[in-house]
Amino acid sequence: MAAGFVLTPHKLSMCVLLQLYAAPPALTPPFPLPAAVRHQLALFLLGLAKACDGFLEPTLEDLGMQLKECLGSIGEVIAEQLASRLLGFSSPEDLFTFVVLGLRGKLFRGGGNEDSLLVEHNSPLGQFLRRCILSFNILSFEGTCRLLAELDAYRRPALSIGDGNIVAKDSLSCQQAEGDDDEDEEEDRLEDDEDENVIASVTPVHGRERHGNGRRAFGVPLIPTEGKVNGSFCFVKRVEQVHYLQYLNSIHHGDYPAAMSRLHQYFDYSVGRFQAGLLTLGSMHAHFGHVTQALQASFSALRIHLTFSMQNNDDACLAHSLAALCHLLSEVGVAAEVTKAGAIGDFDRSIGPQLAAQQHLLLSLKRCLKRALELKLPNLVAFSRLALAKFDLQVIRISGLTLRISPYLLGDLVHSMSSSGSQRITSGAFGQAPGMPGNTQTGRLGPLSESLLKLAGSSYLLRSCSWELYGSDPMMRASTLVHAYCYSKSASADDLSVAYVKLAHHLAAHKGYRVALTALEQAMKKFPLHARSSLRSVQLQFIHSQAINRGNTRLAWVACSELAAMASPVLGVDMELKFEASYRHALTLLACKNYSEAATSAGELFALCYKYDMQLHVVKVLLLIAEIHKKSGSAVTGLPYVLGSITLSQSLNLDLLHAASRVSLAELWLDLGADHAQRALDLLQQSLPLVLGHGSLELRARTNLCIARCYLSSTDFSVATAPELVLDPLQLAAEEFMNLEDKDQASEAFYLLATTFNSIGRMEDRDKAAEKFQQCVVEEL
Amino acid sequence: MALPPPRKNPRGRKFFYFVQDRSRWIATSCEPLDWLKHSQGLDDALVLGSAAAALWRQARLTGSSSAGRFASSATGDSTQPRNAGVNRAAEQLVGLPEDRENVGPAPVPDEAEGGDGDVFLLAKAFFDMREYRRAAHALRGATGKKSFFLRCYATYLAGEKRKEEEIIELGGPLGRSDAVNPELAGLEQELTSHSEKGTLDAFGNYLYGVVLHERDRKSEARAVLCASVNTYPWNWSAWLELQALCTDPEILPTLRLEDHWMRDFFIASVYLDLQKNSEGLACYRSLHAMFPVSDYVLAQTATAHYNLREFDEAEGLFEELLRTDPYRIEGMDMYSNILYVKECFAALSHLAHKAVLTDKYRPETCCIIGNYYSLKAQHEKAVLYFKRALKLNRKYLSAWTLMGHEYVEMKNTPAAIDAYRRAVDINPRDYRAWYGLGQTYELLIMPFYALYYYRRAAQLRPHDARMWCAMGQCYENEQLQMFDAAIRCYRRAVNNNDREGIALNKLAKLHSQLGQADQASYYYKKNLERLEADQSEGQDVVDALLFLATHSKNQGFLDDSEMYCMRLLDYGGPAKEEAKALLREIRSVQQHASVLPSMDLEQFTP
Repeated sequence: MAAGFVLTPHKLSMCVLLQLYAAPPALTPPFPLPAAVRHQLALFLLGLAKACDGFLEPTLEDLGMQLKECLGSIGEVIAEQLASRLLGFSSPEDLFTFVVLGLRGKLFRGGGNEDSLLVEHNSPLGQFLRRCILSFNILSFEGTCRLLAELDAYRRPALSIGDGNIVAKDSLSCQQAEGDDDEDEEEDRLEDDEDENVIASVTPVHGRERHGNGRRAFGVPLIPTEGKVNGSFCFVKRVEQVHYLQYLNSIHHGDYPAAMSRLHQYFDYSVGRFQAGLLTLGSMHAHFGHVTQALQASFSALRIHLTFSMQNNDDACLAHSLAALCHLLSEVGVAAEVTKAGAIGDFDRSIGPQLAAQQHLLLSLKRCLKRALELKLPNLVAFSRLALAKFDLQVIRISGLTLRISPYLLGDLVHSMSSSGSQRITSGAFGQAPGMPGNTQTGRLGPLSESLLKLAGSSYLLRSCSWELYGSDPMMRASTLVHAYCYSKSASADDLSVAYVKLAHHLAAHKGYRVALTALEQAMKKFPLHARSSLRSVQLQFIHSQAINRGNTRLAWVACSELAAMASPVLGVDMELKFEASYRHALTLLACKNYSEAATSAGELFALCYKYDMQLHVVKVLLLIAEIHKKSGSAVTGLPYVLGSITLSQSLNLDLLHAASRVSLAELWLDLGADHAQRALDLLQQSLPLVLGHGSLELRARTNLCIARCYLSSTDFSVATAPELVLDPLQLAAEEFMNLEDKDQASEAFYLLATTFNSIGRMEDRDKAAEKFQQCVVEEL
Repeated sequence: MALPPPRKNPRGRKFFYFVQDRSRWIATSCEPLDWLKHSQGLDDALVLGSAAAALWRQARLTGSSSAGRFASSATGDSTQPRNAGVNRAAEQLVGLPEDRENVGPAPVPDEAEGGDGDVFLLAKAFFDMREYRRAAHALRGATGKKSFFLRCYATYLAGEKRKEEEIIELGGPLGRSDAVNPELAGLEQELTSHSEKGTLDAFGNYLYGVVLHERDRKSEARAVLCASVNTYPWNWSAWLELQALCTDPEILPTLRLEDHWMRDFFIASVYLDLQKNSEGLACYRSLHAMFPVSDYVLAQTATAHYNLREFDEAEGLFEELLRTDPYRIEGMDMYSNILYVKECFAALSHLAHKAVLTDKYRPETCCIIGNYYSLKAQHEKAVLYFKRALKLNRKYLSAWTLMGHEYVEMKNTPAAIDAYRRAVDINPRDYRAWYGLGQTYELLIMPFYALYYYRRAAQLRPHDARMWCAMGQCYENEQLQMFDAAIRCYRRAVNNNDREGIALNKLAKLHSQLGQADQASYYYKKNLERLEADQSEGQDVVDALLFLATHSKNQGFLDDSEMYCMRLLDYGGPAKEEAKALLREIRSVQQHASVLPSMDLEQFTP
């Protein structure tokens, strides 16, 4: 440790503070300090001592500010005292007297007056002091001169403020830093609190990146701008780390060639860390979306482990490579194409190539979890658990044929993470990460635990996903809200935007598309980076649905094709988006009354879902096909599809889809003729609790309308006896369809309302309903 | 040793030698009129801190034997007392009262110095004694342009000196360091204000350019340097500084340079630096017509030939150079590289011996010795000498690269990577170091990682088949197995005249692996032609013959196949047996074929 410990002006001023704390001058007014203040000062010094391995040290001014913050007016006095003491150092002899005689003599051996304390040799402060003294003792005369020169630069700003003529603090760095105006909003916001610990945060960022299994790279880290980085060259002792900083910076600016060259530069200088180099290369490629290259790099990182297994075995790095690979595989989705192209090569001969990519992924993930548990890497444990849960969500294993909340999610992930909390992690597994800035002072959690918090947050997102699949909208909303409220600070922008998307979906389902679209616009303002990708796709979906409902097929076509264009052209990638696009394509065809084409395209979609094992989507497609048949007027041919979707959704526990299928079935029965009205009604009434509790506006409206139609068409029901049985659902349906801007269906509801009112003789209401019907029809025309 | 220190070894020394070259040229090939025309400029140029400057100044001042002084200034410590004498004299001169009529005739004040000629003289003497701060201090009140320049330049050099010392204090001679010249900020401020006022002359602009370059403000530095060389083209240091700023081929056409023969020198030199060797060679040929006896042009021509891998021509030129200038060391490291490649043990040892006798402590000398030991496969010793070269000049590019090569030979990959990386950081256009980095990572079985470095090397030398072959090998590696990419690389190598013939063989093998027999046979045939032309025999020939025999048999070209088989019979081993088996098969098919038509006839004629 002592080898890298260099005495700097900042450490010198800490020593002065320490002296003020332990052996205060007897006579000056604020001294001796009150006991409480003294205690606070001790805590303050402890915090500084812990952070002293950091990269960039605070300036004298900053130190003064911190003192003021911490100790109030007495802090100000202490800061003045400090500055005047520092001014006293003008020759090497002064330094010698202070360090060797003053510090070693008084603090360790006692001496001074009765207020002075002895500093325990092995206490953190004592150790710090000893390191300072030792490094001063081994300084050559040139080194002392240098320290003096640095001290001059260190205290210069404090001097220049006095005469109001601000000399450029360190004109080398500051001019450039200020000249940089092209930072985006996000950075501007962060800049203030970032300024002082730009470099101090490097090591943690570095750690985060290393442990970052690629994904973290997307959640734009707080990277300073180029000017600052270049400027920091002047301060930094370990030059290589600046290359890393520059690498992060170029990644942030999306400068691929620069990032590439900086990365190689950094790892060329950090001897022997080939695996880490490959891992980082992989995560960089992943960041830039070069999936194949990222896979290559991760595989190489795994392989190099085999090559060097005897020598420098970096197990943690291996585990991270594995995690990165898993992440990539899951991101890429079904990587079958890649494997086919032979790009991946034979990753693991023992598994054999016959296994499908998904099983491959599952195995890797489990292995990753095991390794992470062995190596006690909480970050990685959390990641692999989450990934496994995600895998469970995405890929429903046919053998089990049930969808349940993954045990990995239900397990005490969050709990275990919070209990293992910051302290064990910082002291244990990541103990080597130096320079966690000011834990005690600010009361913030360290950066590492922040990344854990982020994972905990994503677990809520996953929960919300699984509730969504189950079909419980309130639960989904609750989980999402928990994420958005409690984890918004630590979550990556990616995760947060997903949460917003989910909330928007909820709004769309329950408040109509207009509200959802305005909400989305807010989100887009908040996440300018995602506005063009994920948020845009959701917006297009809403626009499409709205257009279909309004009967604006032209707009629907545009939205649909734009959606399709957003998906990546690579096979097997972006499957969700591709599914959505073709699903909407079929829907649009249906809205244009182009039944045969709609059926063909839905059939193709079914084949696609089947091919990629997308069980959930299969149900949706089956329902769509049934709908097409129904609309085309042949209810009988639609029946098998609905039945299929009922079976499937039941077996997969997709409750809401199950209810929707039953509603569709009821509609089909009703279309088959009045004889089946009773049967349809029974079906509808069975699914009513779920529909009313969790169903979307559209489903509720459809159900209500269908119920009314059942009553009206059934032979043994007369409106006169119980008109409310028909009127209530019809009114609800009309209202809900109006909310959805679905004029077509709304007009049907109004029509039925009008006829019913007519038959029971409520003329005024009849006229109102008729008028609304007229409005709907006219508008639609 | 006693040369007034060049700011940075290569640049400063280049300047010095060039001035000498040029003065020789002026003396030998110019009309007296031209000589006079240039002499004032030459005088100015010499102020820049070369030993010759002292010679000129002092010769004019004292009229003493200039040759003797020059000789003494080149031989180390013996200069000190004499220079000290000059110092003393200059101090005395300045120490005279303002009114010095009664002391003796005052020296004629320099018309440009506006009266502070003596102070300038004193400062110049301090400067020559390498007491830069003292020189700058002596000039603190002087207003003339020369004084201003000398003061700034001395300040700059003082900062550089401090920087060098700090580097040694902090990290040892080969350690990395982040030391910066502490004077840069102040100099920049002063020079900027002067530049805004428009009071900078060519030399002021040169220094301003240097400072801007160090502060990483490259485009401004370029503009300033262009202005400097346009007003005063004979300052080769400014051209060199400008060259260091032309890292990209696209930059060159954007520079606004006035037409001048110095510009031609510059352009030629930039071409060589950018690896546009044939263009550079053409430039030097035309310059050679203008300056037929210039050693500099000769040496640069040889370098261009060397870069083009035309070793014989380069060797001839270097030999000629040594004949005319036997004690020359500059550029001889290149010559030693050629001798190394050609494995001329005796010539290399002779060269090393001569270099040691001429000047032992020159980086080039150490490099030549390193090359010698490397050729003798004594890699530890070679590394020792390369290290010494680097101690003498930390930015000596080829020593870093060559040391990397040695470490690779010694299987010390981390050290090799470090050495190569330093070379690349000094000059990112050094394709050898990029290539070496790639090679090292390939040795570490990291082909995917190595690809990046090979790509950089190939970007620098797109017409060098070796780069493409290396990339192809990476793609072909069992880890990557990207055969299509590998084939594309090898094709480029073939198109770029792959002399080692690796690419053809690889292409043939790859195609046959991928089952593309037609392409494979095409490349096997080409490879066979090449091997025949080289009259080389080996496994490659056998492979090619075997494949071609089998392939032509399968295609039904039995005669061709037979021919290949017959040739195979000349080789021993299993191939011979296979050829025999093939031949037997061919015979039976031939017999069968000769029988078949008759059978057909029998069938159709009842």
